[in-house]
Amino acid sequence: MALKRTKPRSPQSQLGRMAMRWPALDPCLVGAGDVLAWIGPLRGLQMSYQVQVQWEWTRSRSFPCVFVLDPPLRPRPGGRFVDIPHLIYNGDAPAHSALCLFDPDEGEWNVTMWISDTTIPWASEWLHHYELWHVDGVWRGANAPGPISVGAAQAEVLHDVQ
Amino acid sequence: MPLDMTTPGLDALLLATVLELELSDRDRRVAEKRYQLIPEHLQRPTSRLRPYMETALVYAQGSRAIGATIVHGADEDRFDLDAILEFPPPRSWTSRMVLDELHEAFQGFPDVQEVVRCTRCVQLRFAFMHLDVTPMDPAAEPRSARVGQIHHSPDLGPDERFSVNPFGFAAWFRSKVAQPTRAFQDHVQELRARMGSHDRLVVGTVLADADIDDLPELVDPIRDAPQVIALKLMKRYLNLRYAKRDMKRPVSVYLSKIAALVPASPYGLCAQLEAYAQELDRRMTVALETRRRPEERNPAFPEENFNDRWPKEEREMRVFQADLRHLLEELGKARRSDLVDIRRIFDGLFGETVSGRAVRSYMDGIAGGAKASAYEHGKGFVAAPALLAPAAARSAQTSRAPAHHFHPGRLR
Repeated sequence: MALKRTKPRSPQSQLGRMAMRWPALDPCLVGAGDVLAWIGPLRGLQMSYQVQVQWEWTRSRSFPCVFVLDPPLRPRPGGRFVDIPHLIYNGDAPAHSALCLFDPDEGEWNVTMWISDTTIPWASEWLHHYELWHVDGVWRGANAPGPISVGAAQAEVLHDVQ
Repeated sequence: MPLDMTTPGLDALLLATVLELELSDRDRRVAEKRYQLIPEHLQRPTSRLRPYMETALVYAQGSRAIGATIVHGADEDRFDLDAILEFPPPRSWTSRMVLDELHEAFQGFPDVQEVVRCTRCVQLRFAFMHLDVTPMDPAAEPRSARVGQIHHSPDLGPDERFSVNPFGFAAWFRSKVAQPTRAFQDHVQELRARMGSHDRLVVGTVLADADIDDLPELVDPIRDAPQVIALKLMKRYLNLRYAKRDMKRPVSVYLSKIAALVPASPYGLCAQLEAYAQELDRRMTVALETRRRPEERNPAFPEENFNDRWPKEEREMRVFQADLRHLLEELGKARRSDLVDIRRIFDGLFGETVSGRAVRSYMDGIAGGAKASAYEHGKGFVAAPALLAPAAARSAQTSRAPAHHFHPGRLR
């Protein structure tokens, strides 16, 4: 039986694996070098989006975040940013919210995992479901328990207060 | 921008579009029954053709013989099917007489609403289905397989006879197209079952439901070959483009031959359709530049010119070429578009109702549970990996990502 890996993946190994699986995602260092980032194209249903993946590799409990650069995220016509499902919502700049790709309570991602084999395909899947959601407002991806958007969470709180 | 030539999302939508256009299993059985009834009806005691039916042969030609039947759709939900009725008429009969006699003999055909005498065939009009029966005089022995002469008898002008071999063409076509991979066929089968194609052909009072239900399942795997799918999409697109034009459209057999000549694309269905449109465009360009009309021959019988009735004038080629370029431009846009815009593009190309249903069936097929999802290396998520290479042996580099749940939160 294979032992479960406990050792974190090093930045070098993440870079190597990423270059092999996602050669179009260009790596770079951000800030003082403590944030490793990849920028490049990723497919949704059909078209490709320019995305940026960021990972604060020096922080032991950090996880990679994916931001959509182009075309920027947008709510459904007449809708609000907070209602876009599964965002790590940035209230100051909603279009710069990150995608929320796994359930932290279930430990679906940890530092022993390859970003290339989890975060990136999950982000592509997110973009696919986002396009379907734009058609009819139904999110067809797997949901963690609870509200699917910050807007829905706010509505629940408001309802409880009333 | 597209990442490369593969288009798994568009391919899934194109496939769903084609499945919306095809005959249901029951419709196919209704059509088959009507084919079977042709000799029976023509042999009835009151038929003047009875003496010539003993050695007669009836077989499918055109789209049905090559698995490319689709609903016409421009004006109504109707299928146009073709049959060859092979029989030797008396030597003294002119082409006009053959067609007139056949027209008369078809009166009273079960469930038929109208029998129309056309220039080369007799058309049986049923609810939601037209069946063109073309009489063919088999060639004298020694005869190359199924070669014969069809009759041409216009209202104005003299009768003519043309030597043809539609059976040979269908056999050539079937040998030429690439069989879809097992995984692709399974996926299409599953999709077909999920979409539950609706029956369009209604049997009337003469045919009993039992007559239809007793027929064996008639599944022709060629219908799912990528070149055949591209042909069906092209036919649908052209049906809509020509619906409001008072102009002859490119003949189906010409379109069919070119579809089979375009090799199976390793990049999927959209690339197949694009390659097909490009090839037709190239041929129109050559014809226009050299001022020589295309003369595509039947590979099974080179004497037969598929372009004997189209194109007659340069304008017809220019209009067709413009349609092909429009199709290519729109598919190019679709490659760079999100689903909302793809749907808009497909509405224009294949009709609003059909594309709406296709998008809906794609979305309904996306299961909500957490599962290990497939992705193509360097590109992204793939909802239907089996579509990546419908005919090529190439296996796309795909892996599965661990199952997970999407989750909302706030950025700190």
